[in-house]
Amino acid sequence: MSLARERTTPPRPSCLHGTLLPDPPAKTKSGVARKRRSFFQRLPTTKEGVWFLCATLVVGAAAVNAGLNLLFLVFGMMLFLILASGVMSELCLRNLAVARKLPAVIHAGAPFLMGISVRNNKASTPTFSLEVEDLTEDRPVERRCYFLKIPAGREQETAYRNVVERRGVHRLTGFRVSTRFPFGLIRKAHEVVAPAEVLVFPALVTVPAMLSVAGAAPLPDRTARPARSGEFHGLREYRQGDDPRQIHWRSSARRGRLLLREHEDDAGGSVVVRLQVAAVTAHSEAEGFEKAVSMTASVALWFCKQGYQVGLRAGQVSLPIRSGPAHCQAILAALALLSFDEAKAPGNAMVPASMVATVLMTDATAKVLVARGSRGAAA
Amino acid sequence: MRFRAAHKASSYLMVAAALGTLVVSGNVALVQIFACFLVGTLSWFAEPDSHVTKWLTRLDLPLKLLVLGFFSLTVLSLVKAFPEPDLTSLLDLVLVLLGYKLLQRKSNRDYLQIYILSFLLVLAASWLAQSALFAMGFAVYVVALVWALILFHLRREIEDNYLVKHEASSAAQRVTAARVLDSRRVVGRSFFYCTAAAALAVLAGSALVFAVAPRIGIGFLSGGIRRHSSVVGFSDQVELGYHGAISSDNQTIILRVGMERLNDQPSDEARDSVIAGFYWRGTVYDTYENGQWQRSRSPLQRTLLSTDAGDSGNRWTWVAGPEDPEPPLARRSLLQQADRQDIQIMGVSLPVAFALDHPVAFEVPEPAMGTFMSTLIEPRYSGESALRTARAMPSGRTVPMADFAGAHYVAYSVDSLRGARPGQAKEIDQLPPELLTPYLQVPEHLRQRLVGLVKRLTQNAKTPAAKAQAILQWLHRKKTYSLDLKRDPSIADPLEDFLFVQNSGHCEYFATSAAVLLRVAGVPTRYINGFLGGEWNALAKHVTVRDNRAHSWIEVYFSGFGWTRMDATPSISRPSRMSRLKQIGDSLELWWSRWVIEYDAGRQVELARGLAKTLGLRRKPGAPFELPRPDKRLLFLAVAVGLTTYLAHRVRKRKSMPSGRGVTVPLIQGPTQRIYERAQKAVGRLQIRKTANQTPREYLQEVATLHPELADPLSAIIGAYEGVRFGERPLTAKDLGALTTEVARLEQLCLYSARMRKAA
Repeated sequence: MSLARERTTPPRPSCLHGTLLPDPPAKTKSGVARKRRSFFQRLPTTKEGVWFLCATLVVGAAAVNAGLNLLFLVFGMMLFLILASGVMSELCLRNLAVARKLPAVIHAGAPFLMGISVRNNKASTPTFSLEVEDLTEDRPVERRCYFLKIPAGREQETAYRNVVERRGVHRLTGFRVSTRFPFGLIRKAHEVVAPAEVLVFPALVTVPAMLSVAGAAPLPDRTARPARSGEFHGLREYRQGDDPRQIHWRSSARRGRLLLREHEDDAGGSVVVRLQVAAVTAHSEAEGFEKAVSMTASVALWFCKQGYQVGLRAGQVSLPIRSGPAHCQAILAALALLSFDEAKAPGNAMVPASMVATVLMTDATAKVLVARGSRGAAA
Repeated sequence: MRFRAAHKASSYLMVAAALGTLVVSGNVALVQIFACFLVGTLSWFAEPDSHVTKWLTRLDLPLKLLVLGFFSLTVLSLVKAFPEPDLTSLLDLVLVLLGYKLLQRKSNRDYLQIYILSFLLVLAASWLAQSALFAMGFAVYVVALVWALILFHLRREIEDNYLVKHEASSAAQRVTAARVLDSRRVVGRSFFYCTAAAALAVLAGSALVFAVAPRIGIGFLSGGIRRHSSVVGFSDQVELGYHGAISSDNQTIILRVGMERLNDQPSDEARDSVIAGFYWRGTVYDTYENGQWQRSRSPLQRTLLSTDAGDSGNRWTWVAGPEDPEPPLARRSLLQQADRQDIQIMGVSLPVAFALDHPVAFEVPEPAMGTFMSTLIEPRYSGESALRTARAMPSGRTVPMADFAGAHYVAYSVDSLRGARPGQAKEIDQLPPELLTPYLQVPEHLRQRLVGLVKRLTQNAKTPAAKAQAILQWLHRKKTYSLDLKRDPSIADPLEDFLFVQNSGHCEYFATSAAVLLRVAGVPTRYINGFLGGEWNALAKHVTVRDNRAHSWIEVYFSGFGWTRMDATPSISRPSRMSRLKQIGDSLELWWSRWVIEYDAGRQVELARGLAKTLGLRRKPGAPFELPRPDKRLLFLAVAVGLTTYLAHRVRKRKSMPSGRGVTVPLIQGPTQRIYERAQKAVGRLQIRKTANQTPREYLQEVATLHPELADPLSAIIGAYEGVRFGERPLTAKDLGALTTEVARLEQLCLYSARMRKAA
């Protein structure tokens, strides 16, 4: 039984393209990238804590006033309970290693589970009642992860559900690790600097109806087939989520890191997904452009899933026609980072493809046009 | 231990400890204690879905009405008694509320209220308690409080946070926390040890605060008057036939007296006989009327006191009376042969300076630096002295205090019988007649009734001493001592009833009879109230005088000899020694009283000086600064403690370190691990222990070589263990059942082999 907050879907081990910067486990032990906060920021009392503090002051005043010695004893007990609370909570927060377990894919507007793992590096002391919050630009996200008990030397993992509304680079600055242990009188928090950038892919919209009308029926024998049989294209580094069967072991052994074979699936059809930005008014620019990008991503993903080799053309940004999940994610990544100016700028000549799917951006909507046998069409 | 059970047990322990602190203060009646125990026991079983809860649910409305009614009555009584409300009724209300909350214990909110009510009990106990037993209750309370608060916090966090179940595809859902609350893995033995250590640190900290917190006693709200509840009703006025000062079962300590001469006694028996003859003189009365002794307060009878400062700065008060032929200060020579008594007043609510018969001087120690309380000896009447305590206020004025507990002084007495000699007092005809008149006063109706009896008793006695002897002999012959008083309601005066109808009475009757009969015979007599004897505490080297030693006797004026003590009461045998346990308790109480209850700024200074001396930090004024030279013993102790702590830490660290090098496979937890450990324990009976560098298979091989009969079950267990630990092959319930059978079989075999080995 895990003593962390439960979840049914375990987070994926890591992200394929999600993390652009390395995300090593951040430690809370002193000396390791912990943000300095003022005393009062670090020791905010809870509601119960305020009441307890008031009661302590009243008892202390009564003891001094009446000269009742046993009341001094009670007063001392209350004072030292507060002190013990501070010491024990500090012990709880020491020597913890917090790490994110990023999901494989994050699409804007779609909920995802962000995995948080905490390792208690203390020799013998367990950590109780720990809360971890992810910080986005130094502000905590709405959700927090709760760990009831992390035994000494153990690691526990949980996740929180989150939604990022915009595509692009989502910056996470660190964690806020806090506890109200042992008495709930004070909430002691440490902020841990653990910067990470997560690439949020464009939001996905429904596309099949439009594409079916245009005659782009799914290829019956291509659905989700990995591109293993095509011409050898090259080697690239292995990324989590790749098919391990494609690892080129000899090269990997020689280079000392995992390398993956990439093939060109020449047996299937090819399609170029083109994003065409029309002249629009300024106020609807952002809205319409985002919709167009979402549509482009959805169309590209749809073709990928059907087994097509897919290329991308969006102004200055272009990707060659290839297949495979890695290439599909590369298209999504390119669209995630695509700016309006880049999309508006004229691009190079298009590579030949058996089909061209054009996403036209209008004032507030996006239209999809599909043409078969199109070659060399300019963006 | 299951989390839920641990929380419940610690909460109940905390409530019991809080009640305990109140019980030792002596402010809870036996009925209340019994009721608390009953309610507590009943509430323990009031779990959800239990029969008790169902039964209590039916009684919910009557219980609520009962509590409401009690609350209303309490408020009414408080309002009625305003501006001096009786706070004990408030205490009763807290007890009732606590009982109600224990019975209605359902949510975390109820638990919180239980904690608050328990804390109020401890606050009340700290106000009322005087006994050292409070410390024990308080220590238990602190430990239980730390446990209860931590578990309460965790429980609340579990119920608040643990309920949310996340999925990426759907919103958060609630799941039950019952599984966690019933888990044995949240808190274990080490949790309780560690938190108890933290609680002991809190206790030590509170002792530190207690020691160093300034005792300024501002008194801006209640006059700064310390309340002591356990003072006895030592009477300032004696009423025959009423309870008076006699209370045979009252064990309250009145005085603690240190006397050097008791330390030098050749044997315990000799010391016992000396202590049995101690008459602790308290109040003196001269007027008897309608069964009551009172003071006439004639200015002529006023005790003469003269005060001077001694060489040590202590205040000396010399006692004399109009009968005294010498000026008081001339008595300084008498101090050599006087009994020196170091007296600490413990629980008397009346301003009486107790001392052995006859006190000639009182020495009041100089108030320690920082002490705001001072003790004064003031004159009263008929040789009696009063004790006054006063508090110096920040404004400079002195406020008399209504409490005398903790007062400390030294009395010097000359035993009237031991030191009796002619010429130490004036002749009777040298005294003014108006001085003696009050000591010869007898109500007229009583005189007429007693004249015949007195004439008959003293017909052969010519001198006052002979008359006194004759009367005392008659009383000893005709009357017996008894606390079981009988009374004829048709006779108005209880003395008349005692002399002519009843055959038994207690010391008040005997002393009154002797005094009145002697007065009728023309001998000046006065009535004394005080205590007789005491109990020797060999540990603390002091005599403890309890309330049950209250006694009455008379003083008779013999010409030239002065006031002479005579005891008309037949001798009562009382133990003069304490049991060993009682001695320890008494010593503890004395220490507690001196260093806790009466701890003040003076004691703080004393403590600081002692500490400075121990650490070698004291230096004479003007002396050049030198590095402190701490006490060698203390230094040695500190080094020894430090070294032991360090070694213990090292040993503990070594134990917790993983054995072998390289990659450490994390230990698994769960039934397979437990079964594997059980198997190792069973095999351990045969003196075969698994070494840290042994793999399970090597261990199996070793066991199988030495005891082939164990190979099969152990092999099955180790196979399953390895499967789970290294192969991540989970066991089914069926596998687990089979494994349990195997381990039981292994245990049987090991037991059998061990017995055979022992027999061989």
